[in-house]
Amino acid sequence: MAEERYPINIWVNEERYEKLKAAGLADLCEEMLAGMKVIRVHADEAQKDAILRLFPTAKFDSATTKSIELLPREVKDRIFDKVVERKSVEILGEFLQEASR
Amino acid sequence: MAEIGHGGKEIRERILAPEEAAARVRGLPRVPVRSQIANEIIDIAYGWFCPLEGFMGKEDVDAVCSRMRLKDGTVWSIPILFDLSKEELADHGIKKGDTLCLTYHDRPMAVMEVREIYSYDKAAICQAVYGTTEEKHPGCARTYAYKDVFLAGPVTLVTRPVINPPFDPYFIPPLEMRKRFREKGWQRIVAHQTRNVPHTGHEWLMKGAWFQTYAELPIEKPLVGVLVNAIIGEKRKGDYIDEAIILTQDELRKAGYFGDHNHMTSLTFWDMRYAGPREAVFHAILRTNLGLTHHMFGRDHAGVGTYYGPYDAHRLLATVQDELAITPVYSMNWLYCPHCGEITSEGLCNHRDEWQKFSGTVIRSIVQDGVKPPRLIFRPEVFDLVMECAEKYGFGSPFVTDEYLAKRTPVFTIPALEA
Ligand SMILES: [Zn+2]
Repeated sequence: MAEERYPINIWVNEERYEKLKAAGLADLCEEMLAGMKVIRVHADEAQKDAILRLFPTAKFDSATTKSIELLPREVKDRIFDKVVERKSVEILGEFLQEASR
Repeated sequence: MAEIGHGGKEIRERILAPEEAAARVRGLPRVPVRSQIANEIIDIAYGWFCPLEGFMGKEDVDAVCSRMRLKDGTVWSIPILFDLSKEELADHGIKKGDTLCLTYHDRPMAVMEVREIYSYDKAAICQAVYGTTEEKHPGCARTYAYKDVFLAGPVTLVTRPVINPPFDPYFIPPLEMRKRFREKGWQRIVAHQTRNVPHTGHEWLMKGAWFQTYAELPIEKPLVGVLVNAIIGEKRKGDYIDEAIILTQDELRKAGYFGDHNHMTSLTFWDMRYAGPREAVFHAILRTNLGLTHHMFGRDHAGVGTYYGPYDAHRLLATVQDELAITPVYSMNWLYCPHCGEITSEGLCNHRDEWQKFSGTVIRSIVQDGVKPPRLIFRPEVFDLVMECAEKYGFGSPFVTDEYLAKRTPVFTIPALEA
């Protein structure tokens, strides 16, 4: 059985969408809530716990979406930049290593 | 015309005339009160808490705990208490029969006639009102935080509080509110309880309740209004700031999603107890006094954690329905269905596998990221106003921060008495 994974929703506005298109990553976007564009960066159980520890304002929405929400805006910006840099959404391990350094 | 409030009692404001106030407080022991008590003094004096004329005595607390009634039999669900420490009692030499001058931020706010001094088992209150004695229940925490001695007796404002911008137009006490409803010609008004910035799920809760409330009434003239009644009280970090809540709720009217003919926004000062079913009954009483005829209740109204079942409040309301002068309107959740391409009710649409439910947390996360959502989810006018409020009132954040708590402009201040 695959381990459960929890998304961090990086909301995509026009500016971010342009960056993604330029990097050839527009396909990474999913749509939720009436067409709201989002990139989902997934965390495993240990990474989820590490994030909640590292960023105390963050909240795990256990009730509705099973996602990690309310990360500070600049943290989301850094995660987004990492996705663009690595051209992949599988960047959380590397991000956490850098963030906890 | 007498304005009849909850329990069949006439609503009378308890506020001294300006010319008698200074003389009335001269020489009285001055006892400072905190914001919760100040809020409740306002609620008593203006009639939100009708038939209460002051803080409760022991017999009333007994009756509220054991029977959810005042000692005279009137339905009442949450004790309204005035507390002091034994040291304060001794320092001021307070005894039964005294009259106190209650001060808020060093200004005389109200006089209180001390009719009774007593103590009470706080855990017993918690069990009766909240159904638990756990300290992590916020209502229990508030109860345990009361000091050791309770004072009972009527209170009277010595001056009207000054409501500071941008809240001033939204402070509409019961007698004034009833006048406004008459001026609008509304025959039925349904209350929407909120502490939120509205997304379209909330907007549709109101629209759905408006339809339910309209029912068999004729449609030639607008006869039904929605009153958004925002609860303003103690803030917790991460809540939306009060300014954003009240202004965005009103923006739904200003931006035309509703209109003057069917929508109004106001505030009530109250520190939420999260008493679930008992808080639902309490909200029904508050809004009865405001002159409303109907009250929306969703699932788990005013609940917290997993203490209450989703329909417990509805069942408790049903037990006292005959004694309440307000009709409950029960609301199912609204959601976005991509198949329907619209906001719809979970009681209507059957594309269950495709439903995109509103999550308050997800919406807050979108707002926090500053990314404008589709208008079907969040109205652009509301979004722009939230961002404006963050800059203007929230020190850059639409959510409560330490800085906001320390530096915000108070919602109301007590003016100095004229000598
Ligand atoms: Zn559908």
